[in-house]
Amino acid sequence: MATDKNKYLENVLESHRIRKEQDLLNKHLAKRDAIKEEMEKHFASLMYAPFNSGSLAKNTAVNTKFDIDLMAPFKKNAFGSSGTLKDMYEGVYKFLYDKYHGKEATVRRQKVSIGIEFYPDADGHIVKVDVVPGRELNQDEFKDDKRLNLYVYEQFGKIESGAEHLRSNINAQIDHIKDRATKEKDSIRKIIRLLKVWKINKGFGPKSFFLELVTIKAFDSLDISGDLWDKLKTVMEYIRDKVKDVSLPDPGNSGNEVADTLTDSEKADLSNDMKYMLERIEENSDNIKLYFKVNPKHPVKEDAEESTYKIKKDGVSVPPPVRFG
Amino acid sequence: MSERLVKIQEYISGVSGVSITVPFTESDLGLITGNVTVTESQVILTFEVAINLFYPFQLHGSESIRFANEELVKYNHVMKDGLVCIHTLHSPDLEQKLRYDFDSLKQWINKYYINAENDQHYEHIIVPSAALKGIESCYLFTDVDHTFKSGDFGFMEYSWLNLGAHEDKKIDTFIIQSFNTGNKNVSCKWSSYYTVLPKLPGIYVFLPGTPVAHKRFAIQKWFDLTPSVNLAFKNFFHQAQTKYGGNNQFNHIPLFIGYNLPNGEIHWQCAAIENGILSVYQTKSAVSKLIEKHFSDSDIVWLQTKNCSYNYYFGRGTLSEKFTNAKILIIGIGAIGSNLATTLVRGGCKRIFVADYDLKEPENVCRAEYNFSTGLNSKVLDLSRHLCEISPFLEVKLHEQFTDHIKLIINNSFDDKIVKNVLEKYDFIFDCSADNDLTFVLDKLNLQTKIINLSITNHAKELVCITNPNLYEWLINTFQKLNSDTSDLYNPTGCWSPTFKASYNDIVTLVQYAIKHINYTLNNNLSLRNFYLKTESESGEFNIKLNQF
Repeated sequence: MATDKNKYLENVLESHRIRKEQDLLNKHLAKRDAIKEEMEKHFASLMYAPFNSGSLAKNTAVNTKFDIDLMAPFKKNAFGSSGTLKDMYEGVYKFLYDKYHGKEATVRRQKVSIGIEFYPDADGHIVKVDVVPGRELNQDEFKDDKRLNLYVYEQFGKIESGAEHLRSNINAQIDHIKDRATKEKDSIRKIIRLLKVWKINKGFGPKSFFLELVTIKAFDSLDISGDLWDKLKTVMEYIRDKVKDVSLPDPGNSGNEVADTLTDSEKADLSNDMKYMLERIEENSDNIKLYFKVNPKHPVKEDAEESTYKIKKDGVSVPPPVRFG
Repeated sequence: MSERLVKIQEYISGVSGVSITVPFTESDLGLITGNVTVTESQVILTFEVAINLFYPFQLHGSESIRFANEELVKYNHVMKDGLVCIHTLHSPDLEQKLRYDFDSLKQWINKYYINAENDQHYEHIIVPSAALKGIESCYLFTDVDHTFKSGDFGFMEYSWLNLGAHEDKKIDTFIIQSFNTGNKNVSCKWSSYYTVLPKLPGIYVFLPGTPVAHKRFAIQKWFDLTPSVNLAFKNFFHQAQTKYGGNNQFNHIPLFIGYNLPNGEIHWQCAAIENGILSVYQTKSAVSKLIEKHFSDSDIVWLQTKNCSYNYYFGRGTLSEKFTNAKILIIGIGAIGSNLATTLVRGGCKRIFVADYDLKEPENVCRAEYNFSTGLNSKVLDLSRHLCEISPFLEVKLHEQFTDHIKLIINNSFDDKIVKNVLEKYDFIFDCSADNDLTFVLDKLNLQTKIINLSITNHAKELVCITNPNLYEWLINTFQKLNSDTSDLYNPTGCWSPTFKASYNDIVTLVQYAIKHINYTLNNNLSLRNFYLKTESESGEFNIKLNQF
């Protein structure tokens, strides 16, 4: 029997609601606050108050990956009058590494952030927090212009490793997405969350910020209407057709091109992701379940027995039909 | 005078700038010969022309018309007997073909006689190889990690590989194994399958340049070597000849004469030191009373050599370097896995591990890469030998209980880090086992290594390729969508486990398509997606459709 795509997508969203993982969320928030406190204690007057910048702050989070980003704004001279962004990045990394690594977490360098993954607790929960060090552009101006420079540790799309990345007004970025996601919760917010569900299940993909901006861009460029599947399909078609040349100005600084956070081949890959997804779902509506999965921990009623593709809640599956080698 | 002779004479007379100086005649065997002069850019050259019965067709890829002039031997693309090598066009029409061939001859005159051009690519020296007691020999050599200097000499070792035949001649093939450079033995870079072959002694000398006369023709007499070698080598040669030269089972011991090509590569020619024939002899000087060594004035019998190093062996085409430089594990070497393995090896892969618990039986042969002649045998033993016979650069490892160990460790909650460490040493893991348990386990291990799972449906209607992450789930879902028809399986009498129906051609067509797609994806730095190939023949024509996820 064909899958009712709308009903299914609503179930996917329902199963990914944040409140279904309140306990885990609380643990994330507690760890985030603890890290924040430790950093403020250690760096004291060298930094401004760290603040949240992940999808939780933007109202676009899903419960399989909380995306807890902690922006750590440093003063211009925090690492000496001639201190570089690299000095800042490495200074923060060293502090977090010494503080957490091998004791209660694994600390690793990431593209522009430092990832802290805590060891599983008694419930088997794993908490991940990304700390993003940033430095104000001019001494004491952050409180007014909210602009920060980031250090790019690994090549980040077209931005070379070792480069400075102007992240501009972070609060403006957050507010922009939060406003649209909140006001257009049945359209923009749902589509962003569905694309995140897809990305998390795939295991890799563009940064959430990119998906958020490209979704908003699609809504601003096209008349997107109809039911949930219609809207998702239109956004996917937009990404398929436009992602290779789309411009995604940073809401905090229009001179900053967020589209550059993907290389051309990553953009081509993303376009193909959309192309093949659309083709396969068109071919067989059941295929929608391959890409947008119900969170098996929180199946909604009608999916509870069959869950996603007969995968029982405990994860043990029905063997595939006969295949040969 | 035959009609063919009349036509040839008439057509040649009609070619612009060509005059017949000795009229054409036809032998009893149909060979038509005569002399012509060709005028090109005010140059007039004479050629003997010989046209055989195949003309205007080629014979074994060579032209069946010959233009020769021994006085032109110093020019490029002229053989020792004066034959001019021309590149010409095809035509089945006698008149047109003659025009093409004379045009090509004129192009040669312009390019190599008048303008004395040198080609960009290196042309090897021309070596007239011969047979010894009716058997030809060919020595294959490959790279060594050593830089030879002019004047180096010493013993070397080689191994007999096989006795073959071509037309009415037998051919012994040998491989060069190592060179003794005085303080160390330098091994040639063959795989261990070949380096263990029984070895025979030979000698080598490294020259400052090519052993040639007239620029491109190998020297003819032993004494032609004299200016290129020193006294120490002559003494060494004499000793070696005395020690090994009398009674060799292949009627000679080889002298390898090495030199550097313009691109720095080492090349070896082989001169046979024939049993019972002194290539170097000694005399006592009437003046100094010292014993002196001299090369003889007898002809050198040259034997064939071929540079068989990796870059030449696979020079005609390889898979992506991401495969050829990778460590690859193939689990399951039935119809899919064995074809995959041979394709990877023929594509230049150098490090492969094959794992399968199964026994190769006669009924496996019709659609997998096995032979009847080896009888019942472990699949890993049978296939690894076959793979080594394909490529002399392949190091292959094998294990029958590999998957058993993995399952046992994981299922009993032993330390899965051991399994992870072993598996993550590979760059690619191809799982062609169609073993759902194994897919489950590999998925659960969450490996960094790229896993590529290949399996096929009954009648080879579809081939499914699933990669990590989420291997197991994708596999289940994809096969459920395909609705594989399993009502018509192959159930031989007494067989407890039915298998799918499909021929070698059915299976390999899909496997090759899949490998082509995966290789293309890697080569172009694209993401390797899950996909399935679907065969379609409903419209009356056979098609394969690639469906990517």
